[in-house]
Amino acid sequence: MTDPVQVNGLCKAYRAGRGLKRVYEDFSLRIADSARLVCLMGPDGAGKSTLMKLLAGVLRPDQGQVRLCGMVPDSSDLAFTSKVGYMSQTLGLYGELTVRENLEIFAALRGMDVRKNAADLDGILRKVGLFEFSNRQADSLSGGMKQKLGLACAVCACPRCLILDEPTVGVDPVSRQELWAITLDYVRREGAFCLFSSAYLEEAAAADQAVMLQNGRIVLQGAAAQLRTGLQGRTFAVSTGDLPYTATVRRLMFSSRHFLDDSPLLDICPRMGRIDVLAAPGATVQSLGVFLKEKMPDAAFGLKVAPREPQLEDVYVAHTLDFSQKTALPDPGAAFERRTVIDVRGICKRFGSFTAVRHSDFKVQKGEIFGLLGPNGAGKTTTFRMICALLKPTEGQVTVGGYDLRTAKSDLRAHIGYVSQKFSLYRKLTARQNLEYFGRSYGISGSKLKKRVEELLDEFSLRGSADDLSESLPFGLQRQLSMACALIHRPEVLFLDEATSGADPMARRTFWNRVCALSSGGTTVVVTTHFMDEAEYCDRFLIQDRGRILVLGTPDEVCTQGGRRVSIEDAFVALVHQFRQQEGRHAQDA
Amino acid sequence: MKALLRTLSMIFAILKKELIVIVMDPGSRRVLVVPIIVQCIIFGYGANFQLEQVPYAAFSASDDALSRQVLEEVANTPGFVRTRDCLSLECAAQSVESGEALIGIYFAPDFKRTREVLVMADGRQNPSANTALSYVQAAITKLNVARSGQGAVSLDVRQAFNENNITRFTVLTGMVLALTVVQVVMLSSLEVSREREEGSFDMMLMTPASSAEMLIGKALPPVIVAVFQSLTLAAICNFYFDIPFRGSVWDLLAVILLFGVACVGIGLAVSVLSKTSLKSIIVSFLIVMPAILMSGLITPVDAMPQWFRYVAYCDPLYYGIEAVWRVYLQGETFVQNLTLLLPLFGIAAVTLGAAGILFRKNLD
Repeated sequence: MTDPVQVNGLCKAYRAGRGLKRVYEDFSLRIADSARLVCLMGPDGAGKSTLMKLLAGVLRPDQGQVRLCGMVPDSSDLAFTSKVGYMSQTLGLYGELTVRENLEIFAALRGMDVRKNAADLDGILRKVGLFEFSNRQADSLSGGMKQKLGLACAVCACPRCLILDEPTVGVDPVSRQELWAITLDYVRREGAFCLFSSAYLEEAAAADQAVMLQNGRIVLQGAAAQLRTGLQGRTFAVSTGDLPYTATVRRLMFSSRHFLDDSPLLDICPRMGRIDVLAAPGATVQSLGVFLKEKMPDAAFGLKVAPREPQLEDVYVAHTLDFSQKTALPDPGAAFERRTVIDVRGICKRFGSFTAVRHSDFKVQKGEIFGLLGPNGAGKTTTFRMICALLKPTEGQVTVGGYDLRTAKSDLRAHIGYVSQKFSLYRKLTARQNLEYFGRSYGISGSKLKKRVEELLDEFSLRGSADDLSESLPFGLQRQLSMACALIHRPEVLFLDEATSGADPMARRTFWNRVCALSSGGTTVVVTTHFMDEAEYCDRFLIQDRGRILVLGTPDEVCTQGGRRVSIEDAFVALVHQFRQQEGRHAQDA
Repeated sequence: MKALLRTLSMIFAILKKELIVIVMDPGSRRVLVVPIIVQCIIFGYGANFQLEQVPYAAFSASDDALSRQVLEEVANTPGFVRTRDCLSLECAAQSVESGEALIGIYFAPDFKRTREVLVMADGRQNPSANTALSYVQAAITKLNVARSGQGAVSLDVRQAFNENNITRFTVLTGMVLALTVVQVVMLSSLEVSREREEGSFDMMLMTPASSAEMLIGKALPPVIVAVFQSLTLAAICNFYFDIPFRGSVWDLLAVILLFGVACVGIGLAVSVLSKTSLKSIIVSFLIVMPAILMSGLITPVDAMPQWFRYVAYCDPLYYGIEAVWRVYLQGETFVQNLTLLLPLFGIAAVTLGAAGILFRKNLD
C-alpha cells in the first residue's frame, strides 16, 4: 500500500495585497499507511487549510509534489474526485436547496448515479440523522445540522480518502459527539483514510496520529501517547481544597508567566475542579509549593501540588507559548461593591409559533464572569441579543445597571462593550480605522483617542498590521481586533458572543487571561462559548436547551455528580440528554 | 455645548467610516466615476435627433401629376430612402408597422380634389418620426411656394406626436440629476442592509450613537457623492458639450443638495426595509427606473394620463430636472425656483423622515 499522504518540497504562496504571503516553503510531509485517522492541528495561519486544499486538488502547488493515496490531486479529474471526499471549512452547501438536493448534487459531482443509488443516499441521511429534514432548505438548518450535512456530502460517494477541514468547529458537544461517531464509523467500516483538522485537542488525541503545524512547518508528528512523553515531569495539578475555586484559579493565573516575567508557572488551566499547571523545566512539587507560598501566603496552606500525567493540550500549549501580549495585572486593591448589574426577569422570546426562549430569570453581579452554555439552537444567542437590547423580548424585562437599555439614554451604552459571534467589523477599514471609528462612536476623541489606539495596537499585537484592511487579516488577528474594539472605551460591562470560536488553545489562554484580569478589575462579563471547558473560568454559568434554563450555578455546583467532579462537557451532555428524554416522555404523555 | 460636540464627533465617526468604505474600495471608486462620464458621453451623442436616414413607404391611389410632384419632392429630400413601392394602402401601413419604414405616405383616390396628403408615422419612434414629419412638411411647403396660387397641398398626420422638440441641451442638462440619482439611491440603499449582512450593524447599534446621529452620519456621504457627481456632469455639459451655463453655481448647488437629500431618504428607507443587499439593489432599481421615466426628461409629463401625472408629481426628479433646466438654461435664481424647490423640500422631508422612523422602528 502507498502512503496516504506524500508531500515533497512543497512551495505555496498567496497573493496578499501587493505582496506575496508564503505559506509553505520546501515543505515535506509523509503519513504512513498504518495511520488511518490523522489530525492536523496548529494556530491560525499555520497552513492547515492550505494543505487540505492542496490535497483535495482545490489549490495547485507552486512547486513540489503532492500525492493523496498515490494520486495527483486534481479537482477536475473524476477519477480523483470520485475517490476523495472533501469538506471545506465553509461547507460549500447550497443554502437555497434542500438537504436532499445538496446531497444529490455532491454525489452526482463525484460521478454517482443519483437515481440508481437513491436508497444509499437515504441511508446516509438516516445515519447522520437528517432524513426527516430531507426537504428542509439547507439555510434553515442549525449550525450542527449544517455540519452534519457537509459531512454527509463528503462521504456520500464512498470515498477512499476523506479530507475534513474543521468538521466540528462551532458545534455543541452533543452534535460534536455525533459528528465524531459518524466519521469514526465510516473510517472503520470502509477502511478509509481520513485527514481532519481541529481545534479540539481531545479529538487530536483520539486520532491515530497528530500533526502539528506552525508557520508552515511541522512542529510535532506522532501518536498522542508518544508526543505526551516529551513533557514528562513538567505537568502538575493543584487542588484547591476548601478555597473558593474560581477565585483561586484567577489568583494562580495572575501569578503565571502571562503576568509575571519570572514565574515558573507557564500555563494555568482550570480542569475538572483542579488547576492544571504546566511548569518551566526544572520545577518540582517542592519548588512550586515554595513559589505559591511566597505569592499567596494566605492561601498556600490550602493548596496541594501533585504531579500529573501530561495531556496533548499541554504539549500543544508548550509549543505555542506566547507571552508577547502582556496583560496588565488588575489592581489588587480594586475593591468594588457586589451589586446586581444585569437583571434578567422572566424574558421570553417567540418568533411566530416558535418559542426560542421561555421564561429566563437570572442576575449577574458586578465583576462576575457569567457564561451561557447550550447546544446549537438552544436560544443562547437569542438570550444574549435580548440582554444587549438588540432584540426585544416578547415578555419580561432586562435591565443593565438598573436601566432598560432599549429606552435608556444612549449614554448608558457607552459603558458596554460587545464582541459579536462572527467577525463583524468594517472589512474595508484598516485595523486602525476600525479602532478609531469605534473610539469616536463611544465618545473618545482627539489625543485621548490617539493614545488609546496606540495602547491597544500594542496590547493586542496588532502593531504590525495596523494599516492592513481588516478583511485581509488572519482570523486570529481579526478576533484580537474585535476584542480591542470592544475594549477601546474601557467598558464596565462586556458581552462576548462566542469570541473564541475557532481559536486554538493558546489564543484562548490569552483571551481568558485578559477576561479574568478585566473581571478582577470590576468589569462584568457575559460570555457564550462552544468550548465547554471554558466554563471553568466562569464564576457562574447556565446551561440552556430548547429555550429553557436547565441548570445555573458555579462550576463545582453544576459538575459534581454523586460526590465526583466531572468535566463540564460530561455534565452538559448528561443534562441535555436527560432533559430531552423527559421532554420526549412529556410529548408522548400528551 | 458638550452634548453638541459629542453628537458632532459621533456623526463624524460614522461619516468618515462611510466615506472610507465608499472611496477606499477600488471597485466602488471606479463605479462612482467611470460610468457617469461614459453614460454622459453616450447620451450626448445618442440624444441627437438629427436623422441620418428616413426610410419611407408610399402608395398613391390617385394617379395625377400633383401626387407625383409631391412624391418627387419628398424623394429629393436628403436622407429619404423609399423602402417599398406599394400597390395598396395595406402595404404602406404594414411597412410602417413592421418598422421597415418610419413614415408611410398615402394619396387617397380623391387627392386631386382635397389636396390632402395622408401621412402615417411610427409612434414607437416618436421623436425620430416627428423629425421625419418636419422634413415632409418642409418639402410640401417648398412645393406650395413653387405652385403659389394653385391651391396649397396640406398634410394630414395620423398620430399624435411628441410636441416637445427635445434636443441635446435639455436631455444632457437633465442628465445632471438623472445619472446621479441611480448611483446615489443605490449607494444609500446599501448602507444599512450591507452592514446588516456583514453583522456590523449590530456593532453600530451597540454604540451610544442615537438613531438620529446614525441617520445623519449615514445620509451625508451619499449626499456628498451626489453633489460631486452632479457638479461633474454640469461641468461636462458646459465645457465639453458647450451648453452655455446661464445661472449661478450656488443656485445649482441648492437644487442638487435638496434633490440629493430626497434621494438619500428614499435609499435609506429601502435599505432599512431590505434584509439583504441584493434586495436593496433590486428595489432601488425598481424605484429609480420609473422615477427617470416619469421625470419628464424622456417623455413630457403633459402627455401622460391625468391620474398618472399625480404619480409623476411625487417624483423628486420631476422637480429636480425642471429646476436644473431653469437654473442652467434660463439662469433663474433660487427665489424664482421656489415653486419647484418647495415640493422638493417636502419630498426630502417625507423620505428622510420615513427613513428615520423606519430606522428607529427597526431598532426595537
